[in-house]
Amino acid sequence: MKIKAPARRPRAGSALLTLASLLLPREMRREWLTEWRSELWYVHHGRRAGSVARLRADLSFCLGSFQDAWWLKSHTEPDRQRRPGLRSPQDCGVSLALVAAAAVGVLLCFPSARQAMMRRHVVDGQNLVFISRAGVLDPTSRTITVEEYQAWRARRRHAIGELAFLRPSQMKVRLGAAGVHALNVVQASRSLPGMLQAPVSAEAMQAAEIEHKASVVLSYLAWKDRFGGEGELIGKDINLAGRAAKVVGIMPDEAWRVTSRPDAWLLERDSELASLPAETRGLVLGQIVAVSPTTRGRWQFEIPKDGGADVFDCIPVVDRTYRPWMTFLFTLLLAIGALPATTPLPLGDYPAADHPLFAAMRSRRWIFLGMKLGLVVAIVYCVSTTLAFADVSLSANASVYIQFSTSFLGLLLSFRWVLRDQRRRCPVCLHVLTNPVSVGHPSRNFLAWHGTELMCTKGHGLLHVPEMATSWFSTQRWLCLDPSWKALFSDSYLRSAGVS
Amino acid sequence: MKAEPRLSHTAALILQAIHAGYVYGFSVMEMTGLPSGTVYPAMRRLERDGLIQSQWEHQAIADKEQRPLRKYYKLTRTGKQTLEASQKRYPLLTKLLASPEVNV
Repeated sequence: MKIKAPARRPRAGSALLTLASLLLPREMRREWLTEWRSELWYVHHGRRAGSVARLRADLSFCLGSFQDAWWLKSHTEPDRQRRPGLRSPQDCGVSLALVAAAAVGVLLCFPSARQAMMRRHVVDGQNLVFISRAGVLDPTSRTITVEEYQAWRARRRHAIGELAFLRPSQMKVRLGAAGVHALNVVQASRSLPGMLQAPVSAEAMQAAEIEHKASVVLSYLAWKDRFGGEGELIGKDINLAGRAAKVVGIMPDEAWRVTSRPDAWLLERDSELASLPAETRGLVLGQIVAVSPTTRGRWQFEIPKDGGADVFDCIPVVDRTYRPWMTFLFTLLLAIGALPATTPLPLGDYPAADHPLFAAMRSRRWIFLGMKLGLVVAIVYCVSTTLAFADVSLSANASVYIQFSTSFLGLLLSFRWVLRDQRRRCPVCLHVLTNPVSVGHPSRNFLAWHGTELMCTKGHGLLHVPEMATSWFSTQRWLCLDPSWKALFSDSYLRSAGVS
Repeated sequence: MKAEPRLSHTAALILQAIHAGYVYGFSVMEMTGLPSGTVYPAMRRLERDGLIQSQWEHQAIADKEQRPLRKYYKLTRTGKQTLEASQKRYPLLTKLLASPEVNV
């Protein structure tokens, strides 16, 4: 029968009905919506036009549709549950492998996440130090004034050779047809690219000098995303917050990952830095020239001042380098430690271990568990790295927090699922056990059941799961069924239970 | 012997309403005073249990009266037997809703 949709139906109510219909399986939706919309039409036209009572009646009627849709959904669910899903080990393995492949694919789609995963070492990271005021927790915070930096440059130094002053800010950049971009720019000393071994064009630097323009180094990501990876960008002029500047190089991603990820570095002459107000604060990067055991870790130096001394910390840049796999490894250990609080670790007693069928399948069971664990670790790693690094505007600290929290939660929940799933599988065929039955005498134990019994629909055995360990088993226990039980597990029964 | 399904008072009231000639959801709601979130799921249950059956009216009738199509419900043979049992169990049912026979 062809059902025509009713005309002139109330919009708000109809929208609610459409929303409720999303709860239903697709094949039921159309007829269900037609019936409810038809009924709504009668509800709507049974009241005076424009009255509040009409709107109230419409809404109250439509809210009931959610209960109806939910009832229908929950009563059509058994058909869905009959489908194999993750019940068979093959389906479970293939599904996890597909999710892992999708997670890797998504990670590779984000250049920033991809680069974060492939990071190796900071260029000369061992010899670069952050210099900050003593006692400051975050060495990348702005604690050094331009005046102090200028004074250090003028002094004779022993352990530290080159110095660079950095002052992060946000500026608007205009580049011809590429339009205006708001970029995170770091005003930096001209010595910075050399300290980081970043390639800059000497010709472009010279041209900028001759034309009295500022020199700008773009980050690799900003060059790719904001300027479309234009090959001829070096040597071109851009307008940086009203200042004419020339692009002199592209900073490779591996050269800079010590603080938040800037889009560009505006290279300033020392004379230009000196023109900044003396109290302007920034952070200072130094290059160790006299490497000694002292300069390998965190160390301090003093500068006499007014009868006392200013103390400064030197923190190796490599200490600040963020490696995604290190955080992940840490959260992996934390998750393993926290796992016993969420689910018991033992997989159960299998007293029929000497059964020939069971003995043959034992290694398969452990391989299956290892495969699941390996795949969920890979999935969580890819997902947490993607979430932490997909957005390039996030600071390094925010990325660490995101990766830490997502990987810890992801690992904990997925390990819990792996163990619970493994405990519910037949040790012989690895299918998920079905038909749970409550067992025991409730009246003897505070009106609760002793335990649950699950069955392998292929006839391999029964699993007793304790619910009251004091009155039943202490852990779950497998009961292997001998071939005399086979008659109970006929093909027709297996088909009805959805077992392939 | 097959056991008679024992209905709740609400389900019996809805069954009685349909029997009394209120043969679509909204009219059942109006006569029983029950909200839509109770009436429609209850009618689904009754239909699933084979106590009522639904049927869409002919398109031509709805077009002629310029209104949307309606889905009508009627009692099955089992539904009538169950209603009789329910009327014995809940004697007030027939007093709440009279039972004129309606052919849809």
